[in-house]
Amino acid sequence: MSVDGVRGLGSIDPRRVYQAAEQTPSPESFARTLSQAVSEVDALQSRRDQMVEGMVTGAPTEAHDVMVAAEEAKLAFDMLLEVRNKLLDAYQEIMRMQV
Amino acid sequence: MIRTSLFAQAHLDELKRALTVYASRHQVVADNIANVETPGYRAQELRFEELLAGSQRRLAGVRTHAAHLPVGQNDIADVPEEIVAQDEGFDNGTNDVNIDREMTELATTDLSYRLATRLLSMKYTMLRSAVTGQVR
Amino acid sequence: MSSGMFESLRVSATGMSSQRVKMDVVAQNIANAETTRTAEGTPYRRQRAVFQQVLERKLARLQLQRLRATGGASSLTRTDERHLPGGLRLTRQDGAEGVSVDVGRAPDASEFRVVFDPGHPDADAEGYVLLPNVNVINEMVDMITASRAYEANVSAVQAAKDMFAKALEI
Repeated sequence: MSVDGVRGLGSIDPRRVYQAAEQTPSPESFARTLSQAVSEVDALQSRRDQMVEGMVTGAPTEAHDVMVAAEEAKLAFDMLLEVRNKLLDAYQEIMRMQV
Repeated sequence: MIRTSLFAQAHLDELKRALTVYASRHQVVADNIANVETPGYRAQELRFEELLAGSQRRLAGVRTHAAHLPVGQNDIADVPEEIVAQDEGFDNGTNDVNIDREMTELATTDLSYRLATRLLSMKYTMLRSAVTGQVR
Repeated sequence: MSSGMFESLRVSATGMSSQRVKMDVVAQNIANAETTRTAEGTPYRRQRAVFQQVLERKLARLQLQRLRATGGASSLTRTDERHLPGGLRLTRQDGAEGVSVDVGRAPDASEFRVVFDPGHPDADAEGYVLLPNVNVINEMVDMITASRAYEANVSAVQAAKDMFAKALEI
């Protein structure tokens, strides 16, 4: 039996990832995007915490589900961190501009 | 934003579904092996791949306009797995468990699971490097 | 930790211990294949391993409760201001039922073998001896079957361990 339905690794296009972070023309959508990202990270971390709690208390929990939840929570958090860093860089660059 | 831009386009759902299927299938095979000499026991199997192929054959609607709703195509996560009796008519002297078939299925499932975890891990590594420029 | 694959480890373990019991039974049969007089005075009667599926209660589930800081029946009482509010309480819950395999020993009701051997100390008046209803060839076949089934369960445990270890690398 072959592992069908598994797409090629080329399905991940890093450029699209950055495009998503770069499409921020106005301050409102900045804030909205950021708060959306924060709540998504929060949700993923909650899911991971629930999984761990289930694992500890004996609920039927598969190892891969816990690991996937942990990995996605971390990845989302790292992305949020990168967005935050980029925002900070942009802000500092603006502040450096001579008026 | 993170879900749509980061996770969704990496097609992680198929691999995650595969993992669940393989883990469940291992349980079924382990049950069969443990009960190879239990009188009256019926050998079971977990069916998924045939069900998946069947659902993909259903016609997917063609969208000529972005406002059209998607029709027909099934999400891989919606295809349920089935645990059914094998009913192959095998007789090992006590019941219908075919130990050679079970051993083969055991190895195949083990390897499939390990392949799926490796592929999933590689996808996360690629996502991580796309986001942070680092690998772990 | 309770998970699908961990459950299968337990099931495989019961399979292994069941096959071990069967091997013990076979060894006992072979050792006593010529025993014409047991402690009860009768010939040894062949034993057989009887397998059955068992529904059993899983280990009780632990329930984790987050307790509120103020009021309510499930809150903790703070006897000192320095005590931290809230907390966790563990309670037990009966788990769902699981399936495994179990084995019992039962005597084989088939007839003893009758052999004409007047010189035997346990021969009766006509010179016939009752020998155990044990066929050593069949016992050897059973031994091989049990050994193979045992190894199969070991393979199942190994596969589960492999899969679990790989999942940790996600």
